[in-house]
Amino acid sequence: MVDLDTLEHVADSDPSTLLAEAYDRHHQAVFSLAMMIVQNQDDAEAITLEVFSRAVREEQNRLTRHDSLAYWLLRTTRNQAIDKIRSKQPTPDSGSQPTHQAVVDLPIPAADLEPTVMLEESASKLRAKLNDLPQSQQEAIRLCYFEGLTQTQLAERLGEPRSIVKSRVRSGLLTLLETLTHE
Amino acid sequence: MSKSGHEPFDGLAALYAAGALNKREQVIFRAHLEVCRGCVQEVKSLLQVTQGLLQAAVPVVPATSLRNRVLNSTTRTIPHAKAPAYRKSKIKTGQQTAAGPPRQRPQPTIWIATLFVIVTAGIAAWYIPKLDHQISSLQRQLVELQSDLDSSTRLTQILELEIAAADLETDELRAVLSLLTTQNVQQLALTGQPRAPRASAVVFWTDSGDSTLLASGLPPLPIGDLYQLWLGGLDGPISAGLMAPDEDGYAAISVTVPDSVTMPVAMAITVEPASGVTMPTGDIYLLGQPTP
Repeated sequence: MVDLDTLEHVADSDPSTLLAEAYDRHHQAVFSLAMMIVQNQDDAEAITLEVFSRAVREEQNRLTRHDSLAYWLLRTTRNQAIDKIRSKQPTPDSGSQPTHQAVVDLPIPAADLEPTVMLEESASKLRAKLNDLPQSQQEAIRLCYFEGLTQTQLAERLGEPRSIVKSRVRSGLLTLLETLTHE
Repeated sequence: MSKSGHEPFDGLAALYAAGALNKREQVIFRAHLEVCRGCVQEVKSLLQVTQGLLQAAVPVVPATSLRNRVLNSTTRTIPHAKAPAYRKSKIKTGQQTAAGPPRQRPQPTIWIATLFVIVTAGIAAWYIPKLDHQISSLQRQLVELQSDLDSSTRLTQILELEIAAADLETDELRAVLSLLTTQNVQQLALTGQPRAPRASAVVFWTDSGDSTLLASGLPPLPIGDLYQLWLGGLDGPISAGLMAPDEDGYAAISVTVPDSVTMPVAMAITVEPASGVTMPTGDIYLLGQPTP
């Protein structure tokens, strides 16, 4: 996996070439994630277009100071996709706050935990394990991670105490972690 | 981190990694990460999963036309690279001879313009390096100020957390003190079993049904597990709550005693999955029997 690793690299290279290279390497991951969240081809294409546009427009001076381009693209895709489904299907949760505040951003990994791009085999195992989780854990993870609900919104949506939903998310993620660490 | 101050942060590492904390909670939890190695480790582990989840979508290939749309639409927004500096030259046909173009007498306006260009270039040559130096100096100062501000903000957040933790600890100590000074307080001592020989705990309960467990010397938990407290019921063990010790092995929880249980009863602590179980499955770490 070759990323546009540094500002200097971007600045010194031809932007059009770098964009084409980045698109060729990452478009399928971006589009697939968008499809998974929005479940609509037109919306997923619009999100892919927007994500790469943003990479060019805004990210040249912060590309991978903290995270790789691949991770940045996927994080941005997630946020864009969540905004898209919320704008199309307003819920009581999002109704009380502006759309641009609806998505809770993912933490930037620490410097000593460089985001890695997973091999398709590992991604496939993780996907299978996610589908194998108990329904309650799967639902909690999907709602907070792929629909952007906070713990409070999650508890309201599921009608459960926060301690319960917190425990479900944690247990589910720990099970998925086992899948990754036992490879 | 103070001994009993971790409770507000229990389980937040997973929510943080999953992006399920709101902005304010994120700020507070990030400050907590500065002082809690356990949570840092858990976040690091779980970030592997959440990063992986972003790549766990079923692969779908988009339409080939999307590539052109992306490149065409974004190319318009890419700032053009500087064109190479080259000099345009005009070739006048039919006017040059072997001896070169005909000489023209310089006009006064050309002299003035030339003089102006030379003076401007001289000023620029003197002033631009000075400006560069000033800009660099200002940029350095800005970075230093930003760094100072970040450190101060972080320190404030940590102090706020420590104050909150200290308040919590004070409240708990008051609660314990109140419990100890209440009449008719009974105690049950739990002793460490082979899995935790240095652990011990005491449960205090009153006639009004308030019960508190204080434990120390608890071994660190494997990731994904918690200690679960059990009361001896007539029909078998009854769960009375989950707890996680701090990094020094201390824990304090309010014990949930069902109405059907009349204290004192036997109590035990086992290690179980974090979601809790309905019947004990793990080894007993602490055990207490009421005195006959």
